[in-house]
This record gives sequence, structure tokens and C-alpha cells, in this order.
Amino acid sequence: MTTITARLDLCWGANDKERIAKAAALRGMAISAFVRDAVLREAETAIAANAAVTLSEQETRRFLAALDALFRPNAPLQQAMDAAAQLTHGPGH
Amino acid sequence: MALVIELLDGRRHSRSGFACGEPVLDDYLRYRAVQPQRDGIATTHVLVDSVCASQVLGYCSLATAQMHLSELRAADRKRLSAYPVPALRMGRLAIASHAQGQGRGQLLLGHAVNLALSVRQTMGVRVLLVDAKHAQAAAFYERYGFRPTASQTLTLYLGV
Repeated sequence: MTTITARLDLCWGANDKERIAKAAALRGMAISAFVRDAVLREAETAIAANAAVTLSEQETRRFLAALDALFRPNAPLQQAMDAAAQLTHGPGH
Repeated sequence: MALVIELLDGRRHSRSGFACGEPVLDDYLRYRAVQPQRDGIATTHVLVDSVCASQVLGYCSLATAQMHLSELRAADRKRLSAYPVPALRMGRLAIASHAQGQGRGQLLLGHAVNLALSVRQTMGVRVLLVDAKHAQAAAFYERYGFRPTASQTLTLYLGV
């Protein structure tokens, strides 16, 4: 069970609140619990979408084929890496 | 004059005037970059000139991520020391309008790749992911060897 330790105040249009109250009643839930569940679910989706990426099947085959090969940057990337290595590194680096 | 790369410091770096031509990227540096860094979710690396070290010439944001593979066979799964594939993700890269056209974006990209290689040696990251804001930005990354993770996507990857 979730321990409630923080509050989140939201402003709703009158119509929005009516619709949410109706939906919560249909589920037999309190409005606050209904909203909390829905928002947390959406938050999880957004976070997961940001953290995880899926390679296509074609790119998966390409990735696996190169898995054991040494990293070989192309010429422009090698140039970019060399230039970046010349930067002065400040706080945090 | 020397170009310096460092972690964003909300007290030292002036962020309010940053303008790169992409409002979403401007707003991130101005209003949202400090909090994720404080929370340990994402870091923002800024490029500055030592002569005027408070003025941000450009930035990139980095976070850890994961990459899933499609139709992964059991034999291939065994070849992977960790799955999902551990990744670094550069969610944003922006150069101030007045500093564009001077190879600054290339510097930040090179920095991110160098960092990914360094992290690979210590923690096993195998991929650098980048999120391009539009097709033109995606073409920029493709010149450096990045490939789209799937068709019609603006997320690209580079195995490291």
C-alpha cells in the first residue's frame, strides 16, 4: 500500500472534474485514488519510453554482427573525438 | 581563449539568455536542466569559453538508458553480457545561435562518444543513443556513423 506523504494540487475545468468523477464512480473508486492511479500509470509509461529503445529486426542483426568487433569510428567521428579530447575539462570532468 | 567542457552549475552558468533556435532546447537549459542533474537522473554538459566562462555556447544532456533487440535468439542472448543492452542516451544537443557554424556541435558529439567509451570500460555501456529533433538533425548524426534504431524514427544509435 502506498504511503501518502506529498500533495499535488491540480486545477480542473468544471466539465473535466465532472467527467473524472463519473469515471471514478464507474470504477467504484474515490476521485483522488482514480486520478492518482491514472497519473502514475502515465508517468511510468513516459519514463519507460524515455529510458528504453528497441532496435528493429534488421538493425538487431546488424548490431549483433558487429558485437564482437572493435569500435571503429568513421573519419568524421574520429576527428570529432580527437577535437573533443583537446578540450579543457572543467568541474565535473 | 580555450574551450572548456564542464557539468552545468546553476550558480555559475548563465542560462536565461541561451537561444539556439529551437525553443524546446532553450527552455530545457533555462528552466529544467538543473533539477534532473540534482536528482541524479540526467547530466548536462556545457561548452564554455574560458574568457567568458558563465556564457553557455552549447550543451548536451546525457542519461543512462536501455536498448532492446528484436527477435533475439537464445544463442545471441548468451553473447550479451547484459540485456537489455546498457546504453547512454544523449537526449539533447544544442548550440547557441551565435556560436553555430564553428564545429561546436561536433565537439559536444565527440565528447559524448569519448564519455561513452570511458563508461564502457568501467561499467559496460555498449551503445550511445541520440534523439534528433528533426530529419536535418538526424542527418547530422548519420554523417558520424549513427544509424536509425528503426525506420521512420528520430532515435539513432552507435555501437561503442
